Amino acid sequence: MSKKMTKIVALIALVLLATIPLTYAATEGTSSGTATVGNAAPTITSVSFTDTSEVSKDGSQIDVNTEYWAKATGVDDDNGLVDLDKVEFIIWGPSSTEGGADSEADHYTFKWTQATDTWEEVGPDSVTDIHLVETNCTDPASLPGDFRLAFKLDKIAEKTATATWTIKIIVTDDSVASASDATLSFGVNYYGEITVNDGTHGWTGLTVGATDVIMNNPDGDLDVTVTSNAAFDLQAKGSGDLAKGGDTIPLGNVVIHKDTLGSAVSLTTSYADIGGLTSLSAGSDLAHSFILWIDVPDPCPTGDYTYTLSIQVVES
Amino acid sequence: MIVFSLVMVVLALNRVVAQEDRAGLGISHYDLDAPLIVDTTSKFAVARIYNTGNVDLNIEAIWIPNGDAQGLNVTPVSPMFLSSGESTQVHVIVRADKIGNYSGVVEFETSIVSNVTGNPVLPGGTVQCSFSVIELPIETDEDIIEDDDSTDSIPDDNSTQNPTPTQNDEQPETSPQEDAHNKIQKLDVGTGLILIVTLLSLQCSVPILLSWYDRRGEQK
Repeated sequence: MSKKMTKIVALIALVLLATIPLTYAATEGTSSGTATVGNAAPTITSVSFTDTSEVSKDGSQIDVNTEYWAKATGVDDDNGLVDLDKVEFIIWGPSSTEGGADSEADHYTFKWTQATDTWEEVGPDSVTDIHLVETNCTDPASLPGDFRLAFKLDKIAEKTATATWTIKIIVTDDSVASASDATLSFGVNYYGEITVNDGTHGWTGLTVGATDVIMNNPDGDLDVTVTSNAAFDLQAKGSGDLAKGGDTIPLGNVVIHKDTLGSAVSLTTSYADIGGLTSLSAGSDLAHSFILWIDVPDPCPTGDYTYTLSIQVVES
Repeated sequence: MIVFSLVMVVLALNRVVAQEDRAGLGISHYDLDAPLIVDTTSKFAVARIYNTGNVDLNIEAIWIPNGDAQGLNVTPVSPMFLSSGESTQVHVIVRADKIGNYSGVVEFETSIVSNVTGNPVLPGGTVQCSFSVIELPIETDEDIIEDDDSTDSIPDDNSTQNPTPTQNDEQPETSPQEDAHNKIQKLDVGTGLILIVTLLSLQCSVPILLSWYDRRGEQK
């Protein structure tokens, strides 16, 4: 009780101190002044991360090269929309940090600017904005309102088995006051892509009983292009024996390796590593090639023998 | 005779795919590891596949189990047609007949729509899948009281949904700390009123006191 009284007395004293000069001034004459409205910092009510069906992906695994939406809901600023400067979306993987350099592998920055009412990809692709799906980005006509970023990660965005990528949303006003939220997270699935540059292959001029004959069609090797967001292996398999009607050359007579006959192994109908093309580094549009050799049985009827070669890329 | 015995075997590709045709396949691997309840059928997404080449692809998905897979029937939703530049999610329908742990791969075999002859080289791929088939948990009376929606617990894909609070959650009763806080708030309101009255009184009395002081000074 005594503490309360002390507080009351202190408050009265303060009131007296504050009131006396004002009152005294009032008795002396008039004064002029201005009414200054202070800056109010922006606020964010909530955030979300979804696919385009608005199913939450917060804390989940997502696909590269696929559109997703990050959203700041109920963004407000008591000074109005005109007081906002920008809304930034910073997305980074576990190998980077919030302030890291933008890169396709692990760091992206997108921005909405109030002055121009435009969305842009600050990086990694500030030229073509290839990771920004601008047509599906939205911003409000007034506050409070919602800001939705539509984006897709690059094919080489770092693969993570758990939700270790972070999305940070920062709303900044003209006075550089800001509100931010960095609670959204996700993981990235492994992505492997292979493009076959040589659509067919073969050997011409073979003779019965010939061994270790190197492929010569379309040339001396097979070219492929690989994109992978983690270290990878190239694997191959055959559809079955090389066949011409009822005649066959065993699939095992075809051997494969990056470039060395002595290390080549026979093809089978199950995928197996291509020697020399394992534990390769992640990257985009990586050119690789390999060679096939064949043994022709003796005897072997004349003719065109065919099979199908399948190539795949798997995470190391 | 020797010349005749050296019969030319030609594995030639007289008509080859046009050089500009490039078949490409990209796969986003979901590494599915899903629980199922025995005697149920569920649908799971196992991958997203992309046609990254410049030719259309026919794609067949095949389930290849690791070891004994009796007791689990996995049927990929296949075949699929993907135009150049398109992507789609791939699903499997899984019927669980027997309790146990199962694994295998879904293998994608492609063929291109254009007329290919010779020995084609095509992109392919495999994705890993694991399934744990368990018994339907027996609910006790307590479980039923705690969770009336537990019968819908089987996921239909591999997405991880964040739990969201139900709309009809009961509001908790106020705690003793909250009661005390409310009382303090009431006390503060009373104190505030007293202060306002005091302030108004001072606003009136201080000018009177000041003018009295000024008059007294002039008299002296």
